[in-house]
Amino acid sequence: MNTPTRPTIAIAAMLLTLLAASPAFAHTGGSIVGGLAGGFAHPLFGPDHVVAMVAVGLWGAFLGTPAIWLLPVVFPIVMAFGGVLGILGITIPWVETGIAVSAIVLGLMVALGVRAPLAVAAVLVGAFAIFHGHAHGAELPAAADAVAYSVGFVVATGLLHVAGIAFGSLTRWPVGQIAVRAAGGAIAIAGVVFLGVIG
Amino acid sequence: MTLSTSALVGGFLAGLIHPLSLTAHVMALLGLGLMVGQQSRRGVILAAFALGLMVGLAALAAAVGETRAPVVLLAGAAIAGLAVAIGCPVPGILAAPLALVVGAAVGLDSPPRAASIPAANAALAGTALAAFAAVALIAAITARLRREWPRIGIRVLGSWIAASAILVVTLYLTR
Repeated sequence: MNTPTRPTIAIAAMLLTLLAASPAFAHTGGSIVGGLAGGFAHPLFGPDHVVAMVAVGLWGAFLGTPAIWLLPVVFPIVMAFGGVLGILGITIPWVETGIAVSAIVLGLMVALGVRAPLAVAAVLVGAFAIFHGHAHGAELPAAADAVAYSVGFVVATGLLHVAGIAFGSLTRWPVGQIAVRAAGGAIAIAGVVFLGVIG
Repeated sequence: MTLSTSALVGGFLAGLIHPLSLTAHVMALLGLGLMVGQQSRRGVILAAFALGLMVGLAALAAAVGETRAPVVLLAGAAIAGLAVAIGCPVPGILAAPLALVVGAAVGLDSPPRAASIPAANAALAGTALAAFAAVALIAAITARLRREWPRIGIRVLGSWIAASAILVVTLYLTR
C-alpha cells in the first residue's frame, strides 16, 4: 500500500472539512437547480451519497495500487452510464435502496478489511455507481445550466473519492488502521439507517 | 485610442475570453489538450485542431446558420476524456480527425457579439488564439509530467470530463 506524505494528510484534512454537510438527502426530486455551484453542492448535501463516495475512496486506499486510482477513474464513467439511463427515463428499481446498500457493503468492505481482487472490486463499485448515477441523471434535466451542473456534481463526487483516499492513507499508522476501519463501520451503520428511513 | 481601435481591441479581448469562459468549451479544450499531451505525434494533432478551428471560424464569418456544434463539442470532449482516462495512446488516424472536429466545433460555437464586422473578425482572431494556446499549453504540460501521481491525476480528470460530457450530450439529444 502507498504510504502517505504530509501533503497527503494536509489534503485529507482540507477535504474532510468539505464533508461537514447539513443532514439532508441528496435526491430531492429536482429542487436543486442551477449551474456549477448547484451541481457541486448536490452530492455534498446528501449524506447517503457522501458516505458511499468516501467509502469508495477508503476501500481503494485500503486495496492499494492500482485500485487506489482505478476506482476513482472508473466510477465517474460508470456513474455517467447510470445517469444516461436516468435521463432517458429508464427506470431502475430500488435506486435509493441501492444507494443505501452501497454504503453498507462498501463500509463493511473497509471495516472488515476485505482485500477483494481488483476485478471484483471494480465490478462491485461499478454496480453501485449505476445507482448513484441514475439518481443524478434523473434530476439533471431540471438544472438550469446542465453542463455546469454536470461538471459540478462529477467534480464533487471525485473530490469525495479523493477525501476517502486521503483518509484511507492514514493506515500507515496502527491507530490510523483502527480509525479507517472504524470509519468503514460507521459508513455501514449509516447505510443501515438510510435503509431504515427509506423503508 | 480611436473608437474604431478600441472596438477592435475590445472585440479581440472578448473573443480571447470566450472559449475560456464557457464550461463546454473549457471541457473540450482541456480534454483535447490532455489527450494530445499523452500522444507521441502531438504536432500533427495540434495542426489538425488548428485547421478545424480555422474552418469553424471561417464558416462563422461566412454567416453559417445554426449548427449542432455544441453537441458535437461535448461529444468530442467525452471521447477525448475517455481516451485520457484509459491512458493509452490513441492512433493518429483517430486522434487527428477528433482534433479537427473539436476545433471546428469550437469555432462554430463561438459567434462574436460585436457591433461591426472588423470587431467581429477581431473577436474571431482572439478566439482562435485563445483556443489554440489553451490546447497547446495543456498538451505541453501534460507531456512533461513524469511522476506517477500527476499522471494518474490526469486520468482522473479525463474521467471527470468524459462523465460530465456524456451526461449532457444525452440530455441535449433527448430534448
